[in-house]
Amino acid sequence: MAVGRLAGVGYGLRRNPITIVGLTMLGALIAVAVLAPALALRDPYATDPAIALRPPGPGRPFGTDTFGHDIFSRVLYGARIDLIVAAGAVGVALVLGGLLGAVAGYTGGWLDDVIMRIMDMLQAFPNFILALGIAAALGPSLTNLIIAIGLTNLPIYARLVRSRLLTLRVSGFALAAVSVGNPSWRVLLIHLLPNSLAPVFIQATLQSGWAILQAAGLSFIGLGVRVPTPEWGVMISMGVQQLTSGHWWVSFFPGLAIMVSVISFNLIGDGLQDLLDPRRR
Amino acid sequence: MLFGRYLLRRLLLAGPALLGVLFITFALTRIIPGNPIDRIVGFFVTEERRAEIMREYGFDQPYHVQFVRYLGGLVHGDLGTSFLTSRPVVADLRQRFPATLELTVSAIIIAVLVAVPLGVVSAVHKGSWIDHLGRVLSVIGVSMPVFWLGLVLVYIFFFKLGIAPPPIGRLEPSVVAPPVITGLVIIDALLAGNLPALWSGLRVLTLPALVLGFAAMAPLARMARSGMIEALDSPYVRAARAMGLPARTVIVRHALKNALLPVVTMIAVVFGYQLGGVVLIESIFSWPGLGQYAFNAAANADFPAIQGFILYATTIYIVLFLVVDVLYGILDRRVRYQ
Amino acid sequence: MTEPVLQIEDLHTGFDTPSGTVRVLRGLTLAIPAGQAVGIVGESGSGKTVTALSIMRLIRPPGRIASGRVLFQGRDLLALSELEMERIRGRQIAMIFQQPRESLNPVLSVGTQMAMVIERHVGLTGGAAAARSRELLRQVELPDVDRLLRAYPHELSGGMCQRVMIALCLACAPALLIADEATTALDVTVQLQVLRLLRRLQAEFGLTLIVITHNLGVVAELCQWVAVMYAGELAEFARASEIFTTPRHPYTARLLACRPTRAAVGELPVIPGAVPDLVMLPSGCPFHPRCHRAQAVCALEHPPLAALTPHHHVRCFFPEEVPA
Repeated sequence: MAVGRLAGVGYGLRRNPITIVGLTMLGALIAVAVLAPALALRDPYATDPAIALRPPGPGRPFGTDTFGHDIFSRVLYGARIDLIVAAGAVGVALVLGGLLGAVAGYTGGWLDDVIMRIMDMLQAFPNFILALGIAAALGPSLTNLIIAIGLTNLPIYARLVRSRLLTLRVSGFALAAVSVGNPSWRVLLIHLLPNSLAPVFIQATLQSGWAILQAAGLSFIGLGVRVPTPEWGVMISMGVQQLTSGHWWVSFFPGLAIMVSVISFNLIGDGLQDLLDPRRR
Repeated sequence: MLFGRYLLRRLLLAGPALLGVLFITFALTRIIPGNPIDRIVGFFVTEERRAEIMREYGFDQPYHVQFVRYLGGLVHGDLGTSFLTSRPVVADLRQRFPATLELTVSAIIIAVLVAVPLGVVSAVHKGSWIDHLGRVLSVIGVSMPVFWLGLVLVYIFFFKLGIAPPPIGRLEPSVVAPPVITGLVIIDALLAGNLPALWSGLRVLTLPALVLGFAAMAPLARMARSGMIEALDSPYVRAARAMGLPARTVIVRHALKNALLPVVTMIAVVFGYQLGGVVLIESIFSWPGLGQYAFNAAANADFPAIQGFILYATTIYIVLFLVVDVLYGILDRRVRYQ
Repeated sequence: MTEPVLQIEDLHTGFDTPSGTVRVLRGLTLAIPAGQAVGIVGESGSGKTVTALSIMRLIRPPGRIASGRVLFQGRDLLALSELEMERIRGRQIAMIFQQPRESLNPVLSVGTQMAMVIERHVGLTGGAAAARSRELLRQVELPDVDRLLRAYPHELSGGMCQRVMIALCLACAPALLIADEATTALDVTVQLQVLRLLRRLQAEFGLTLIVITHNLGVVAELCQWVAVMYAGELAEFARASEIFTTPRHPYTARLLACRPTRAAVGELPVIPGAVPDLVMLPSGCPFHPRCHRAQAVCALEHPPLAALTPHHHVRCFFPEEVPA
């Protein structure tokens, strides 16, 4: 049954140009991240004060910054970092949130109440502010960034999975699985969870873009990845001072990279949403 | 009477959320790795002095006692003292609040004025090139890092074109500030009849408000569009058209009110983004508001300040949703029965 | 038969979907005589509602009217501009729908909505419009008129909402009123009340009624003429009395036979098979796969609409025999 649905999704995806564009862009992005060492012109950490703050030109497609880093190479390597953060944060949110939601939805009772109250509290915070607070508390590092963003975006997955489970719990095939003697955890894992996955995946793609923006924002403030790591948000912050001296390229290209990446995720997510709810067209 | 009960229910639901928020904020600042004392006093201090300060701040007590003290302090309006400014956080917040208020309200107004008509027009002309263009713009708008956009616009309009004033503060340096009544430069300038200040204030406000509002435009336009499409496809719109009401009447008097209901909720959500966005935008434009305060606090590990900011932002967020709920109850009678 | 107030000629309406165009109306030809009540019956999917929406030009994308003519008082409605059509809707042709509460805007009061229509068609505003609203509501036998004007749709029952809709339709004494499954969503007792109201109004104002329904009882109660639709075209058209006593199209005959009667004992008869897929219709006569009178030619050729008598039209090669 699940396989048939996947095939249907594949068919629908092919007929939706938006999603194709998004997937292509994402593919290119991943390719860049993987091939960064081959595509980069210089070591992203290599400084060279002699050629500091040069505008884009031959051998320096994106110019150089205050320390003489080659921005082009750093943008390429930045793809790795930002994709890792996005994947990591969404992964954390999805797995933890999904599990919590599954437990809440399937078990019910006081456990459900407690978990949902905690989700309420997490969602009472404006999104970025909570991430800011957690990141500030944990200290600036890549791992902490992933944790902060992951925790902030947890509740959505918890709610999605929980509501799906509440309906499925009393459905025909679930009751059948239980009546045949399957223990609860087996029913949960093997029967119920796979059927909850579709809306979760859509959320995940849409959130990946958002995660990149949050990561960039937090790093810009100094709460995420630190200089000189080639993360796009940090790179933008390194160019702020240079702006009023006319050196626009230091901040410009990393931001462009962010935009392109987030667009690709949003296009995929939009396409998936259109697929499952054609009224949106 | 039904409305009163609705209101009360909404208030009661908000209570526990607020308590949870306080708890989480407290917990965040206590799980900091390392001893918070080190950030206050630095390293070159005697053990006795350290112990003294720990007692002063209450760090020597067990956590639950600290929490109670913290709550107690909150009730009295005491949010602690900033490590950076050495002033009570509450005083800092109060001083910087009007600047942020001016900025966020302007941003929302701009966003609504631009996005809602765009969304409505997109819906009415669904499938046309206008609609497609709108969708493309909206995807780009949602995907852009707002602080980057701010930098790009500052570069173009200030540095290159010289149209925008320098992104420093709320008034251009050459202008005389109006006497502070509300703290909102625009309003104060109006009240004092100080036209140069009014003009200057507006000029300086434009770019940051535009940038901050920009992130809000895409979700608002989308909501307006989908709300409008749903309204236009509804049975009552069809019945209204069947009764011969002209298209314009149908759109404006029938469909619009229904379409805008979800937009109202979206404004609250979008405001939440802005609460985070100000941290980034204010620092870029050197706007002396709460966002800049939070930025400095975050960069310097000024925990009472961070905590104070989080509490302020979250409380406003919760209150805002409450207001939206109430608004919904006024606009859509059906909701009161739920 | 008097001059028809509405004449539908070869109407084709379809919906564009990713899997192809669903042709809902495939050459519908129908004449509505003036001052009479015509029932349009058929199963779900036969095209009844789409017919009504096509007449009113309320078909929205992805649907569209492909071809045909709809002559109303001599003018082809399909050739009019949207502006001209707006002047006809509500004023000369009015329509009430299946879900009456859904047909009213939930965020506006009844009074506001009535005032808008009255202002549009009769030109009254303010107090005069309100007075007219009250008068109309009394005409449809609604009590407590003042409170009603201030009320919101969700505070009213289905039957009350439908009466409000009828009142709105009467605002300018239209020549033609289309009732699309107007009583289907109502309680049986309320159904009867609304039907009686419609009959009274028809007599009083000389209204021409088109009653779309799948309920033969409603037709019996209200209509002088019956049009039976199948797969987007007219299968049979005759006086109600004739249709009920001597149905000539096999589909109509089977439809009538399916009604439970007090005398019936044992299994209820059904029509075998299912309503055809409108994207891929059977060749020839669309009913032939389910027809007990079908012969070889029925699968090959599409039967034309034939007049068995001047007032009884059937689209069938082998219509039922009339008992001697």
